[in-house]
Formats: sequence, structure tokens, C-alpha cells
Amino acid sequence: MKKILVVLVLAVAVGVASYRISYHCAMSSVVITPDGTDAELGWLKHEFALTPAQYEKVLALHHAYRPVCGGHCARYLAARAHLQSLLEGNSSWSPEVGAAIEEIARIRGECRQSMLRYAYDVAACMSPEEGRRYLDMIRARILSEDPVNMMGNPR
Amino acid sequence: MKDDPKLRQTLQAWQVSPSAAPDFNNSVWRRVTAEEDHGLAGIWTRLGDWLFVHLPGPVYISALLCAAIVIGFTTASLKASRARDHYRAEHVRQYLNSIDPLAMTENMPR
Repeated sequence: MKKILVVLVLAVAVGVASYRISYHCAMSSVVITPDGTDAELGWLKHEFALTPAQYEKVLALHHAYRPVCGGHCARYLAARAHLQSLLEGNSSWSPEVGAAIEEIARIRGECRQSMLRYAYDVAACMSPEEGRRYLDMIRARILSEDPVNMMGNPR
Repeated sequence: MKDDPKLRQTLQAWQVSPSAAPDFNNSVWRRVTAEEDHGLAGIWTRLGDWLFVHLPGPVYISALLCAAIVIGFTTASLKASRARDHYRAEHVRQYLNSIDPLAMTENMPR
């Protein structure tokens, strides 16, 4: 009875050890980054196999794009707030409401164009194959598809 | 008398044909029924024998440890695969949100 208990405990211990070692090895290549500035770029570097020189260029582009992106974001929020106040203050159609809707659509278009220009610049820093994969991911976002499925798997 | 060839020949040619006991058939069917009634108990007995007698042997111990390793490895691989997919999707989302002005507005208080 004692021997069989020892055997079973040993089997469980070996199974648990096998699980832990295998899981650790399988997850060692996964970059786990917290939310925050530049955290997502660590993943980008790993996912698209960027060399240090490529990463420096991407980092510079990203830092230059951030204020532009923030500006678009602020303009979009302001236009949306303006439309909201017009809709709350009017009970019938007015040319101002139409203009506010057009303004929002225009800003949305500018946001997309700005993001796409940035993405082309970033893709140009990568190897041709990784650049294509990166642009697939961006295209999926612009076309509102699933970016993870669109971009394929890393090499 | 011991070397009597005639007697030896007679003994060699002798065939015994015992007749079945009077209740032989019924007795056989009773034992079959009894075995069927105790089938579950029999399985437990055999399982107990295997567990306490055969399993502690080196062959079964080796097989058990190999099975434990394989099960541990397979389970870890499946779980790691799912976790990798999850982290990848999360990173894609984080990165795209960081470069998409419209996505940024979604995360801001209105």
C-alpha cells in the first residue's frame, strides 16, 4: 500500500514538473508587456523581427506620430461634442447639424489617412516580407476586419 | 505377479469413462450465474490485484512515469498555444489603438 502511494505521488510530481517545464519553455518567447508608452513597440520589435537599426527608426517614427495622432483625437472629440450639443439644442434639421456631421466625417478621413501614411513609413523600415505582414494588419484595421487573422503568423 | 504381461496389457487398454455427477449441469449453471452476479466485485478484485501487485513493478512504474510526462507536456503545449494566441491578439489591439486616433477617442471619458 505504501509503495503504491509512493508510485502515484511520484507520477503526479513528474507530470506536474513536465507541465511546468514545457509551459515555461513554450512561453519563453512571448513578450508580455504592460499597457503604457512604448510597451506595444516591444511587441512590434519581436513580432516583426526588427533589427536594432530598424527598431530605432520605427521608434523615431512612432514618437513623431504620437502628437499628430493626439491632435486628430482632440479634434475628433471636439467635433463630436459640438454635434452632440447641436443635437441636444435642436429639435429639427439645421444646416449647422449637417456641417457638424460633415466635419466629423472629414476628421475621420484625415485620421485614417494619417494612420495609413504612418503605417507605410513604418513598413518601409521593415524587411519586405515583414512590411507586407505589417500592412496586412493595418489594412484589416482600416477595413474593420480581424487584424490578427489578416497578418498571418510570424516566421 | 508384478511383471505379469497379460495384466499390464489389460491395464494399458483399460479406459475409464466416468459418468457425470447427477447434478452436474445444474451445478455448472449455478456457478456461471454466481460469477455473473459477482462481475462487478470481480472487476474490483482484478483491479486491486493489478494496482497492488503488478503496478509497483518496474515495467508499470516506467510506463506510468512516461504517461505522466506525456500528459504534462501535451497539456502544457495546448495551454501555452492558447495563451500565446491571447497575448498576440492583445498586443495587436494595444498597438493599433496606440496609432489609431479614432480608437483613442473610444478609451477617453465622454
